[in-house]
Amino acid sequence: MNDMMTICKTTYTRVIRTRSLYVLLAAVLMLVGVTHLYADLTGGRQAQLMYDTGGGVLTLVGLFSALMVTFDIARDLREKVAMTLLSKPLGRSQYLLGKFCGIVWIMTVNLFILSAGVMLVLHLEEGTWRADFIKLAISTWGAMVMTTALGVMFASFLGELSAALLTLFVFVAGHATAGLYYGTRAFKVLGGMLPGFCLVNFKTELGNNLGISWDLIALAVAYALVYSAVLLSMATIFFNRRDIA
Amino acid sequence: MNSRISFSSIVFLLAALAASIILSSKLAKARAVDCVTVAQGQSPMDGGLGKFISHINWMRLIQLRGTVDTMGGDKAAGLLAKKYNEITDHDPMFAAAYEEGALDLGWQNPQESLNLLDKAMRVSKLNDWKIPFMAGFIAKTRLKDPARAIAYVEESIKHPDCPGYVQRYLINLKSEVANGDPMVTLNLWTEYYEAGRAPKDSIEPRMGRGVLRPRIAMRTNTLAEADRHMALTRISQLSSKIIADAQAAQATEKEPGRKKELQDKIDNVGKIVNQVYGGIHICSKCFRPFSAGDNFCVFDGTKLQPYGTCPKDGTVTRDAYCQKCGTKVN
Amino acid sequence: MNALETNGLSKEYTGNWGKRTKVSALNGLTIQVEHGQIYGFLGPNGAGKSTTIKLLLGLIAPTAGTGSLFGISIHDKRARERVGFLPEDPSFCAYLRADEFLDLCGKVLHMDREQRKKRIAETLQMVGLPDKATTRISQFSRGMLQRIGLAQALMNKPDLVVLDEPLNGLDPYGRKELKALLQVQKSQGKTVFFSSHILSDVQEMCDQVGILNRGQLVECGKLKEMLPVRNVRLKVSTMDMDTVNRLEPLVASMTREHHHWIIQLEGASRTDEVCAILRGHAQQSIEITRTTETLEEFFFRRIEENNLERGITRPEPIMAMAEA
Repeated sequence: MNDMMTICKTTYTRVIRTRSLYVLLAAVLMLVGVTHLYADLTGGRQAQLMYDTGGGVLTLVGLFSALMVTFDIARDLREKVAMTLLSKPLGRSQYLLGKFCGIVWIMTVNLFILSAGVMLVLHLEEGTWRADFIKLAISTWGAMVMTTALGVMFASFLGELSAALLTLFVFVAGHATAGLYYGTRAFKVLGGMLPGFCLVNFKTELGNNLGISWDLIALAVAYALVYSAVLLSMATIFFNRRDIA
Repeated sequence: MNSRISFSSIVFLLAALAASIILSSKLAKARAVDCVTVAQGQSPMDGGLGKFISHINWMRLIQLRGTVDTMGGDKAAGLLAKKYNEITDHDPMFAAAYEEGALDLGWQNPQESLNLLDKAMRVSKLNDWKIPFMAGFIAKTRLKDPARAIAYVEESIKHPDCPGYVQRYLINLKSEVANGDPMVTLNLWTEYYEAGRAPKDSIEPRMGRGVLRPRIAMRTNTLAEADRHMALTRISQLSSKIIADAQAAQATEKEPGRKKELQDKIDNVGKIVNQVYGGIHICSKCFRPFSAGDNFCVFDGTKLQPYGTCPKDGTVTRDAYCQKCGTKVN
Repeated sequence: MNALETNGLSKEYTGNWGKRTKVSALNGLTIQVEHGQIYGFLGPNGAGKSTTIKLLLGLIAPTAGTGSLFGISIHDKRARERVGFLPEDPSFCAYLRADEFLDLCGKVLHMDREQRKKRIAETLQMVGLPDKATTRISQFSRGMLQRIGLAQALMNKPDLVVLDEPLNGLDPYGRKELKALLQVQKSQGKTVFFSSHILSDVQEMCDQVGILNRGQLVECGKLKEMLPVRNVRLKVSTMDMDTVNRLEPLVASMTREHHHWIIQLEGASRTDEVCAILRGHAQQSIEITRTTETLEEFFFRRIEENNLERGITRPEPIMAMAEA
């Protein structure tokens, strides 16, 4: 556990020292804010646009953070940091889980900052607090935890670019598999084995003011965490077989 | 190499996988109740950013609409249909896109317009009466297909917040299908009026200055005041017309069987009117209501049995006793 | 119990995506490294030196054979508790400061805070970077990276230090300091196992060497015993004609230098016979000087012989260039 936390902290430190992250956060918050000026372009739907842009940037920033893990692991391997650390009495599973936790940590911080910023901007625009945006942020967090685990899984046996591209592809494809869960039993089982990003996405519902219960959000996050555990255990199996050369 | 894979990690993987299959199934079930489901069509590959993308497309469409008029009719309609479909693919709940799209396309390509509205009607959570109503309107006005329009408008009136004019539009459509038959139309209006009324056992007496007036007690009606008035007016007009026509026909008719038929028709209308105006004073000839103190029907001059007048000083009142002399009013 | 031991250790690399082509990087390596020794691991590029090191540290899995560190299997992570490792051409965590990086290594080595703090200062001093503790690693030169790599390898006062090409990138001062540092480790009873291309340094420092060629161990043993004697030089004061005549067919040359005779022998095989003749006739003191092959000469000769034995006729590109 201590080893894992050590790697987690180091990964967090690495990302937190990346200046581009702050620029990105500031830029996306500004992007959400300027949608106030889009009244004419949206036909008076600027508040809706602001909400949807907020949801969109949460996903994009979360995705950016999650994909970082594929580059981070590959960079550690290339720069022989992984080799140095793994030549010490550090388990490969701890190393991989530490990387995962570090990226999830930074992603959580990013999403928190962004959600608070978007809610403030929405409050300034509409004059009321959109509490349902918290539900959207939490469900996005769940999806991003799953994406990070997916990135770790691919990075455990692929190079950085192929791992990142494959993670992105599965993330996008996983949003278009809703039909599987309403098909025959075989399809449902197949759906359960694949990452069901469509199941944890509530942007359409929340953006259209459909009341989504906290129970459903909790169930979605639980699913995301359990599926992340599946991906991480696969990742550790692959990584334990991998030659660190 | 294989010694690096522990048995426990395989067991953990399988257990987690089983749990995720169960959870995904539960989640999908819960989503089917609370979330948007689209009956047909594949979700687009938008990475969960559909709502955001649909808004971007919406803005692009607004820009496009400024230039689309310079194109040819079919080309413009095709392009607009494509754009509206893209928007609603990404956000199936974008009601404004369906509605504006239907109006945009309705003129140049009504079929595309109906396709767009059909698509909206397949979205489980889009409880919007306007969408089937618009579909009905387009089917009626552009495709000249009242039968198809009736099917759409009947969908619309199922929504609890559907306004009264949609129901009246449905009556007109049905009347049109019946080639304007006054009897059919009267029945439709009566149904409309009756549907808004409370059951008979909940008759509420009207109160006048705290005094019960059982004579003019009537059943409450949930229709809006204007809608109720319109319904009663139409019922009154139609019943008068039917009776007038039947009476005119009776006067010239020689054949007793046909005469009886006409009399039955008049009696039927009388029953309907009595049912509708139960508790209200109506003219025995034209079946139109008359007010307190009226001695003659304002529509056909028939002598009436007046009510609501003080037998002592003739004051017209809707109360039980005359406000001037205190005599009990008939 | 040896500090390091391998038995028939082999590694084959398969091509990507399950291609059937297999490349044998190491073939049945069997070595033993005793405690307190400096072991030099030599071989041309691609001989399998780094592969061996990675196998020993559990970074890659062997195709066949076994290995152990201090008697613990190389598959067990506890085997690495007493080991310090410096990889070849490291770049490390560029975003960390030197002390932060060493602290990270200390944490992974399960050292407590006080121990880490103390050891960071000591190791930085040891590798000549005491004033660079708070400098970001991204600002380090190649030589400094090598030094910080060495510092992390020594963080836990390891009983076995494994170094992959440690002399690369070091300036002459750095090389001298490193050699001194390794001697200190040896004097403290620690074992050093390192690979290198710089044969003169290896010859200077090592007790034992292993020479690897294309995955096969060509030579292995104590350096003193391994290098063959090239010639023997005997210096005697007087010699009569009879002795000269008797020695003439046995020696390569005999010359008179001032008041001494200098006798040169080719190889060492006839040394005893010549000494017996000299002692029998003159009973005088004899000064014997043996000249051995250099490690570099030995290395090239053995590699070429091994290539010939294995039917590898194509010369190494670098040799071909030299010949041209």
